[in-house]
Amino acid sequence: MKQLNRREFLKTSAAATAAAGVGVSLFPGMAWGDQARDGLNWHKSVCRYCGVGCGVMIGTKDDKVVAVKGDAENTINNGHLCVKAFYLPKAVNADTRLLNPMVRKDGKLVETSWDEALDVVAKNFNKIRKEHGPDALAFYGSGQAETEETYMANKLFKGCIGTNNVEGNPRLCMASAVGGYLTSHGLDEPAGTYEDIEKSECFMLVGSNTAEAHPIIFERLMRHKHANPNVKIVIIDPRKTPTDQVADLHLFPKPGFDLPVFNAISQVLIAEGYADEAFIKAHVGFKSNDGKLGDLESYKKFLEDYTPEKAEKISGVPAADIVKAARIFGKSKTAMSMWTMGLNQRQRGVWSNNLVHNWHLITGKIGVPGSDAFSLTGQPNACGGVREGGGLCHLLPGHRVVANEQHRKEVAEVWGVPAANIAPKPGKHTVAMFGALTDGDIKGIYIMCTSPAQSLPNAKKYWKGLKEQFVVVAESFYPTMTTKYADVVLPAAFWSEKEGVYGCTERRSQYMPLTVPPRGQARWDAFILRDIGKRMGFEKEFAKYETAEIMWDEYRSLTAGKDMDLMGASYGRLKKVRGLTWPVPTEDHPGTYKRYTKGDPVFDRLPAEKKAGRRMYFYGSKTNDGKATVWMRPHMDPAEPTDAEYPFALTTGRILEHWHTLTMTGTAPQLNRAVPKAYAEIHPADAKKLGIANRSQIVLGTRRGEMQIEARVIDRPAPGTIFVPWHWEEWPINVLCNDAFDPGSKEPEYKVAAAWVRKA
Amino acid sequence: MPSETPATFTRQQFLRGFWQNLAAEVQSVSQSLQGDATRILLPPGSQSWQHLLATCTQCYKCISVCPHEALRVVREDADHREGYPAIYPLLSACQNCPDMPCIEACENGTLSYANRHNSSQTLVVDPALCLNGQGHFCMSCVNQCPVGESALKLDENGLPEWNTAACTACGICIQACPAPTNAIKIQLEEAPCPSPAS
Repeated sequence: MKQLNRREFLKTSAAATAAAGVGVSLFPGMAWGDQARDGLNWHKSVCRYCGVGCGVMIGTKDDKVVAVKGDAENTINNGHLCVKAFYLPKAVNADTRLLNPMVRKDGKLVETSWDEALDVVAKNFNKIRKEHGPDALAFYGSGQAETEETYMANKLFKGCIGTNNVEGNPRLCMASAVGGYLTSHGLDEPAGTYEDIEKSECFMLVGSNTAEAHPIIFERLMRHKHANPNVKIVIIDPRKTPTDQVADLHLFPKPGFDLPVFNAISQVLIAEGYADEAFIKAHVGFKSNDGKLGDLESYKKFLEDYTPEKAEKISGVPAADIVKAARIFGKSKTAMSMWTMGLNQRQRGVWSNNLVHNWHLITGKIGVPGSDAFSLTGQPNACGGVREGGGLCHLLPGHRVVANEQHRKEVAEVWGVPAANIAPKPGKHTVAMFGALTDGDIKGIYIMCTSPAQSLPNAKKYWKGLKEQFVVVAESFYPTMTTKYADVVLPAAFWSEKEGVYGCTERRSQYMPLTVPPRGQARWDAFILRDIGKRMGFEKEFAKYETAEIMWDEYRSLTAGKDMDLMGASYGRLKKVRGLTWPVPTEDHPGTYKRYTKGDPVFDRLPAEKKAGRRMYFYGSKTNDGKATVWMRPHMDPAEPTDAEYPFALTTGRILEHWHTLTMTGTAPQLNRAVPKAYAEIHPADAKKLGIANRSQIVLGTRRGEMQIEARVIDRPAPGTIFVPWHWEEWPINVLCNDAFDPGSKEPEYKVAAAWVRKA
Repeated sequence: MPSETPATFTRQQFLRGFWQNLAAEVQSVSQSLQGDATRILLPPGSQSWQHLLATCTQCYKCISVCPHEALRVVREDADHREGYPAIYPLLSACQNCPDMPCIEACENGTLSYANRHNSSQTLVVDPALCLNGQGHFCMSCVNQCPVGESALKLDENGLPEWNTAACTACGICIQACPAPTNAIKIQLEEAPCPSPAS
């Protein structure tokens, strides 16, 4: 061993110390990172980020979260994590954590006690309720909140205060997918699970940059295709993305003009004999756009307007490519479609979803291993807390709706409140809610675990309401774009500091333990809501909720016997296993892989005569015949097509390294260095015409605002399209987005707005 | 490094062993860091460090015309490249200007289009530092490579793999790497210049 002289040792020991701080081994024979793992307590949990639901192990030492590693036994990710998850400890321990309650006094937020803060909230909420009625209050929550937290909010607002103005950011994200499942299948959420991935021969990735939005799913796709070179992957997206690494074919529809392409694929599937007529006969009904019953013949007639040639005229996608895509899908024995915001964040998001469902329903590629129409959920608990927990203005827990009297009775009974407390009419959906806040019809709002000032479409329009009305923000980080409007800011315990359940994309509910005490004076959101309820006068209604388990068990009781049965998913069991996919009706039931078919306990319970001659029964079907529905959805232009004055289609999205409004990923210097700021992707041909150089400053604007931003000249967005990631407060691109929304799902059309671009 | 601990050992023996191991680790870490602590890349269009050191007149025209301030004067350097132009990708990577003002400005052809892709320097990943080598999934370098798949992609083990024939050694990948310790190394075909007796 070469001897170090003293100078060399001193010169490099500083560097080594830094290296040691990140896990370089100081002890012989140990692998990188092992030294950091020594002496730590490891806790099985779930990632804080996306809807994939990766299992993570949280390493703690002396009441501090010091490390995160993948849970090798979790079948979703098999120990792998994306780069965001890797840096979660930095978020937990960040300086930007909100540690003390604050109340606005003389225009400034000042720290105060919990007692005062909760008092201010309760008094103001009660005053507003008394003087203006319960609908002058609202709750806006999140698909990142735990199921127990949303459950408490639902009870407080719908069951006690008496308003259905309960919404959450999944309205901006998954509502169209929900609408698609409800209208195509009759019930929400996928029929299959991730298990279908390694069994599938074909993947249609539609409006999904899977490599960056659902990285661990993408990794599974990549490995699967590498191990099985016959696997075919078709991408339908106006933009080339890192997902293209695995593409065999890529269709580039003009943004907002893709519905004809989806119909044309169905047209080819039927015309070229890929339809499974026996499956259709037994399992599929047809409806025209106005809801009238049709049949296969009327569907074929409808599709005459959507030949590949006609679809090419509207969408810009070459007819030959549409035919190719359809043949790939049709020829494959099994096929999975996966989609996310590209289909959902549209003014005809539900229709887009329906049209992708159609491919699977007409070919029978559903309900068998390897085949499914599989919507990718964005947030970690949009499914569990909001879609299943009923955290939207028209829903009640356990897939119930406020409009149904029997549903109101069932929920009220469990909540211990009079059924009359729950209003029968849906409350205001998100865009309407913030519109009402702006108009002053809603005078008080409680915002939890989300930053609508940044994330709402046409965001600037809604800042006025946030400024003028009484706003309570429960948040783990400070400041955010939304806290600056708050009258009260409540420090919420963060991931790893609270126990609770997250339910991910594949119907899997997973338990997260409390691993370290909440920092500073932060408290668990569910207890905050409980205590506000008590202070507002609902003492007996909230007295019982001493623990998370009590909340979870009460919520679960509302799922007994339903399609989303969680009676077999007690905390005791969830702590031992890597989650359970519902329906899981009993403690010894393994959970359900495929719904609507043999093995699904709800299907298995059906009387034999219902199941005779069919392999699937869509027991939630609104046609009451167990059949799924193929919808004849026509093309509709986006709300704001391009024109001479606004010749570009602006579309927004996310990137691998960052999450949403940067409260969490922004705490990791390595992630900030990897991608430090926003940019606008522009095609080289467009850049050349406008004289725009790579990395130069440009200005881009829509009817709602304009912004200076750095150009990234790159062959990714198709010509005529601009792409901007939405994470940075300094480049609040959502101000430029359109708040036109799908009339069915009420989900806004983030994915298309008409824009102009010029050199700065 | 002892492969087995003796049944009994004195405190002094333990401490000596500990500090020896520490010194060894520090040295090896420092070497790997130092080799890339400067982590500098050749200016675009260079043939090799040897060629640059032999022919560059240090006129600094390339540095002055770079619109992205990606070219800098080397200050301290263990390989004696002080005073010569280089790219420090962790500070500011080359942005692959299509019109290459740096090459255009070079007075004597030290930088030339012919050398746009050369094998004198290659980028490689350290699997022990790369997140993909740790059983995770990262694509930051691949996603940000301005050339694309032909220059940089994940290999069958999921590790990034560079193709010298297409790579422009701009360093954007190095800047993008979000691993706790930057996982991308610069390998030189030959040392920049013969080192003085050590």
